[in-house]
Amino acid sequence: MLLLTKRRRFHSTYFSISPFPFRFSGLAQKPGRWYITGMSQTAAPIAPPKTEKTEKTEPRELRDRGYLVICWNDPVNLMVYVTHVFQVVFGWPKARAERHMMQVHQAGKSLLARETFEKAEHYVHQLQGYGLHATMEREE
Amino acid sequence: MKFIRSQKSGNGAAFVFQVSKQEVEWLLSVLKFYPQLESGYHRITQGGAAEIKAEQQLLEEAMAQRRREHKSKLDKFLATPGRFRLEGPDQFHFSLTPEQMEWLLQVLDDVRVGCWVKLGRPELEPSPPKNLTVGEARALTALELSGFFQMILLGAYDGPEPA
Repeated sequence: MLLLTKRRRFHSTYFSISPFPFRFSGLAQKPGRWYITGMSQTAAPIAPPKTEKTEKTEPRELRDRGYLVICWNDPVNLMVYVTHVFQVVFGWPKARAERHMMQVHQAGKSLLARETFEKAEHYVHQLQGYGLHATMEREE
Repeated sequence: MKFIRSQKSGNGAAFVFQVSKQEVEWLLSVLKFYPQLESGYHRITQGGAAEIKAEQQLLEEAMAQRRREHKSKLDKFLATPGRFRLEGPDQFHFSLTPEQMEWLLQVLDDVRVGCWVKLGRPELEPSPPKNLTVGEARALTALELSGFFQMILLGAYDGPEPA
């Protein structure tokens, strides 16, 4: 919700929102209204922009990355240990590992990765091998 | 127990620790608790989706296999003659390769988490559970000691403490 609000504010502040998705050469804009300047008798019809749909062809790797690796809080694993495990399993620098560890500690969980089924499963096995409470969840 | 230095060994770097006789006894008594966690502890997902049943089984098998490997390494590690070298009055040294550090950390964590599960998964802060049976008191001691040794092992990655 916070992110949405910020985005809206950003758009309204930094981008003028046009009523049309493309610009007409014969149109001029005044604050609050649109009008046509120097319209000739035989105005050439303005061809609508091509609206041919292009299929998005994401690589399968990206398309399948619908599994979330989540680490859950528990009162037993030491904070310094959790940080170390994140560094080893994901190869993260200490600062990033600590950020996720603090998120687990304070928010109760942290999203560690969004991966394919196989990779998410691999990470869960690694994390659980270190005794952390980690699971994989299908992204809704 | 404290980390004193890292040194080159046959397989690369090694971490050298100094321990007292009492600490060696504590460490050995904690390691005797391994393994503590049961395979059923591990859950692949929060939900109980039927289609993930095979993956749940795979996880449990993988964890059981890992425990067998760690137990084998641990037994070999402890059976090595001169594992704890006497260096002075009540001073022993022992060294760990980075690979040994990693599995020893996992072994200690298994003891810690396993004991916590056996105690009924209590909150440990601000104070540990009270009115314990003898068995529970042992589990709590192992839990605390494994955390103590984990902290020292992890501290070695940051280098020795300034004198």
